[in-house]
Amino acid sequence: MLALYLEELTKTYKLGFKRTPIKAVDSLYLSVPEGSTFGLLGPNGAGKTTTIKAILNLIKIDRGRIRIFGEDHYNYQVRGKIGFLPEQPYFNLSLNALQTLNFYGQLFRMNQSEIRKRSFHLLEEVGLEETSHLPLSKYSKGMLQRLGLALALLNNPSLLILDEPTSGLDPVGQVEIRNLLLKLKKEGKTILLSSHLLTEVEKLCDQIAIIHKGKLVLSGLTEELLREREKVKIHFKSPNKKLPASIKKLAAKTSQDGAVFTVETPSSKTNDLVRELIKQRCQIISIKPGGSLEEIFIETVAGYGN
Amino acid sequence: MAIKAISLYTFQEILRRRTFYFLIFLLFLLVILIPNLPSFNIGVKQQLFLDFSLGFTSLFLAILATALSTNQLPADIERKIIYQILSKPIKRSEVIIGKYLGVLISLFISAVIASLAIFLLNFVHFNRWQPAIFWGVTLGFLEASVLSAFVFLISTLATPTITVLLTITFYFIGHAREQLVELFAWFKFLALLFPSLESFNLSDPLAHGVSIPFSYYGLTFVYGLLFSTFYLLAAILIFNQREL
Ligand SMILES: Nc1ncnc2c1ncn2[C@@H]1O[C@H](COP(=O)(O)OP(=O)(O)OP(=O)(O)O)[C@@H](O)[C@H]1O
Ligand SMILES: [Mg+2]
Repeated sequence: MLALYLEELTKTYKLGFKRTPIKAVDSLYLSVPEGSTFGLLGPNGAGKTTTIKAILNLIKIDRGRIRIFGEDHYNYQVRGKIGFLPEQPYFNLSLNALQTLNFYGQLFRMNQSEIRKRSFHLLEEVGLEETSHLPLSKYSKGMLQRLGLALALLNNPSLLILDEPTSGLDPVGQVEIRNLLLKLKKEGKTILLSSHLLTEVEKLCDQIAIIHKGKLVLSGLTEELLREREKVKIHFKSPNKKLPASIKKLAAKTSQDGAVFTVETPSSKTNDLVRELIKQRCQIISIKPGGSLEEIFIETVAGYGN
Repeated sequence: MAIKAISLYTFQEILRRRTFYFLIFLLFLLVILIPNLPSFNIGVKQQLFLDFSLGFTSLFLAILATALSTNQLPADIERKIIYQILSKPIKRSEVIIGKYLGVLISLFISAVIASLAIFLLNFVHFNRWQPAIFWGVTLGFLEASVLSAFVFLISTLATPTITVLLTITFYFIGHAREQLVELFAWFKFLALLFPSLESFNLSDPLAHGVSIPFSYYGLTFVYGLLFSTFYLLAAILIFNQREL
């Protein structure tokens, strides 16, 4: 079953006095299978947050359809299955973490004992158990982000929608949150995540979609996309400071920085290339896997121009 | 349950505001000061006291209703707390109704405090036992609830400043409705949109000890309820369409 299905989603904003239309999301199709972790990627202004707001019915869409576990997104009850972390989680700063979770728990129609149990558990999980009685005005940005995550998990949602979950977190916090998300993934939760931290997405998401100017430009299984583009980068020095012709023939791409040459090759040809480098008495400095999500992202986005 | 949670949350938030206590304090002060105003004889003084204090209470409840309602929706939209609220399984109408009820709780408590103060002072200073005072203040509370519903409606569209200005206009038109209808023929149709706020004002007859039939209170209650419902429904319709 699909946790989330977007069909031809289109949203135009009208800007300024002249009401100049901006297509924030343009005929977007997305399918997020139940149990998957789905990375929604795209440069700033690509339309990720707009897509997420549309799913939660916070904005009116021009065209298209949104299904959440098969149900129409206009049905307010379907949001009971969703946990949402906004781009910047905003709170009433005069309340403390427990009061905040208590209020939202009631909006989820949870009962008091359920709310209390879940709140203590989650605040511990995100590392806020010791500051749960501090008014949120005394919280740091990262602490608010952690509370936002705890709130997103309050109703034990089947679908988690996280808009840049690790923004504002220190490196340790980022790893903690990533581990928490990995744990949730193992529990079988569906996660839709928008992020600019591509190494994080690579570790977490089994599917990705890249959108650019509101349009879908690339989507697929992370593993397959990476495998298709799998390559190896070899840095080496040549004895006569020239690139041997036999190497150039084997490599897909070559470049030079001073005395150091770099060749790129599909990983199937790594052994051949290394053998040839040794034969040519080249000094290998490093062999690195290439074809990261970051490269895929930059290539894809650059390919569509700005 | 969501409505209850939102109204209690709204009420608790109001209790944290200094303006709330300041306005209550001000009203309290005025009511206490009025019996000490210099006047001619005891009879006039007591009438003056009732007239003034009931009038003040109505005006105060109207100001309080405006002050407490104006920013309810805009502040949450501005601070984007509305995203957190509306991403939960609740309807937008529940947010408006919940917030409105939260304001009403605060107005009600203020009305109770004011009516008790007036009733007791009337008894202690003038040795008069007039339970009708509670009815008088109840109508003031009803007027304030109508006003609050109107403010919610305007605040779904306008900035707080515009909301306040329109509400003041509404207040004056509402009170001068009968005169305006007499003065301008074209106002007759427009007048349908405005309640006659003077019907909520009983300070004069009450001050002069005129007994008011119970049916009047009943009718006025229905009248106020109809207008509040009408404004609130319109507010919900607009808010349902709004981009956030
Ligand atoms: N309320 C709004 N009014 C007008 N235009 C808007 C509004 N919100 C977003 N936009 C426009 O829609 C486009 C998409 O914005 P969106 O916030 O969805 O991008 P994003 O992919 O989330 O970017 P980021 O990575 O910076 O968070 C942008 O061009 C933005 O200017
Ligand atoms: Mg965004």
